[in-house]
Amino acid sequence: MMRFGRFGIGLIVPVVFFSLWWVLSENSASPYFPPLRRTLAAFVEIWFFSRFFTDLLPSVSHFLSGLTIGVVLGVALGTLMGLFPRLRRDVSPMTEFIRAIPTAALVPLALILFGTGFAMETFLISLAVFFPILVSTTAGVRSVDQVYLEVAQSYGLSFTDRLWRIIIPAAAPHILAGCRVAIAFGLAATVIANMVASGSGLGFFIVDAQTSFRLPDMWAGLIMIGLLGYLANGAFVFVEHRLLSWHRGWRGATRAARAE
Amino acid sequence: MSGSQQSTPILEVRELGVTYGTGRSAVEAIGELSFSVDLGEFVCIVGPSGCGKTTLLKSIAGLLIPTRGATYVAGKRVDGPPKNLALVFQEYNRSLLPWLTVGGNVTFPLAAQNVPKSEQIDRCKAALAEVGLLGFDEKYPWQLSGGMQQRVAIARALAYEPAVLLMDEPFASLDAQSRADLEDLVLKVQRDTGLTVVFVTHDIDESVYEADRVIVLTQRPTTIRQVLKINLPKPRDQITTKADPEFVRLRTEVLTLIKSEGRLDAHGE
Repeated sequence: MMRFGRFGIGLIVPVVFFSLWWVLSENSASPYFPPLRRTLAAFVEIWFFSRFFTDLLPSVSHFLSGLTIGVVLGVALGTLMGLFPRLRRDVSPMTEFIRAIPTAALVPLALILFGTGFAMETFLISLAVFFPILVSTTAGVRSVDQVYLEVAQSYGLSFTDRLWRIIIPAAAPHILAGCRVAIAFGLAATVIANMVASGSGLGFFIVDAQTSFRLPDMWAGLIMIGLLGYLANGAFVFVEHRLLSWHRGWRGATRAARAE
Repeated sequence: MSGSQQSTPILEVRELGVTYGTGRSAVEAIGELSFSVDLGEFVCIVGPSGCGKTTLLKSIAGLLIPTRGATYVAGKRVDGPPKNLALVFQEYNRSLLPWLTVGGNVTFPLAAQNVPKSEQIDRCKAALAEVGLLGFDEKYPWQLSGGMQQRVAIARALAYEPAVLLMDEPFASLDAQSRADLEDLVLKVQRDTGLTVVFVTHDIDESVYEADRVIVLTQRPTTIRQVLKINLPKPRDQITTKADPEFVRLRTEVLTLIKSEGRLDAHGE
């Protein structure tokens, strides 16, 4: 019931928004705000045909590979830092330092290291994704209930079994919260990497469209970026919902028990 | 200590001592403890508040390395969690893993030991049947009441097929009705399986009701105050056993021993 309601609102607002945009822009003579009709025509032409392979696909694939690398490395190092306080003490000043540098500022360095193209963009994106995952995984692993670990120990679980059967699942709610932030950071890094240093991709496309005064194209690019973010988040929520259904139930039960 | 010349002890605690910390801040939790438990025996351990019952249990379970002495399970010195021993914790809501179903909670220790899948399922079914939860394997622990959750924890211990079952104040956070049911359940399980049970509790009635032998501990640094043989007839019954004059005499004796040691333990340790 509630899900239907939320789904309904989630659909109504964009429909109203785009309808208003369509109607209000229909007779627009301003070159900066072209009629939505023209923008959508450009959108279909560009993203389904002319620029699908040259700009859309590279951006999406760089985003996905950067996301994968960043998540894997972030979870790996975050788990180690959560498990070993000494490592955490020694490494965290360095990670805090690097984390403070905005992704955009790292573009020149990435260019020197990797030139332009796949490696450079993937590097920037994975770096942007890495830190939120690192921080949330470390916190998640540190907060694993001591009793779970004693149970695992008393049943003679090996380190690997303890890691995969206890620590990672127990830290999963934290890790997935980090993933949500990481997806937004990763998308931003994708656009920045395109804009500053490539001859292709979504970010490059909107800058190029703007400088060559193809403004319906620029608008079409913006809509595409918004759509990608929306879809990425939707896919994430879909996965999270399945992985963490136990967590919602358990939290609800714990809260009810406390209220009793 | 406790006479057991004819039967073989499955569990032996020899001159066990535990000191936390060093130097001036050192706290001697256990002074010196020696006792043994025979195969198939049900032993309850009671003592005044903060007397190191949990410390003792953790030393037996191999979760804590004692400062002095040692414990032996089936003649083997404990230097890590022994394979033939299972521990049931007091905090059932924290000892069951909330991301696993009841079935998953019972079988994960078996899966970690590479027990074949079909055998895992058989052992899980048998254990859940023994605790009266057959058919609950698809539920999550947090969907069950406290008493049922502790049954799951007991089923997990049974499926592990230990020789010794250690229980650390397992029913302390349950309501009176669930507690009585589970006391009877543990007696039934012990009768069915012939398991050796070492049961730590702060509830004196519970200790006398359950045990073949009650070990009463002293204040810190803990030693044995007295060992009482409980010769109440079996099977025991919440109504008739607890009305038995011998039961009343024994519980008074245990209570007197503990009271002379200090405050009663009302909240565990």
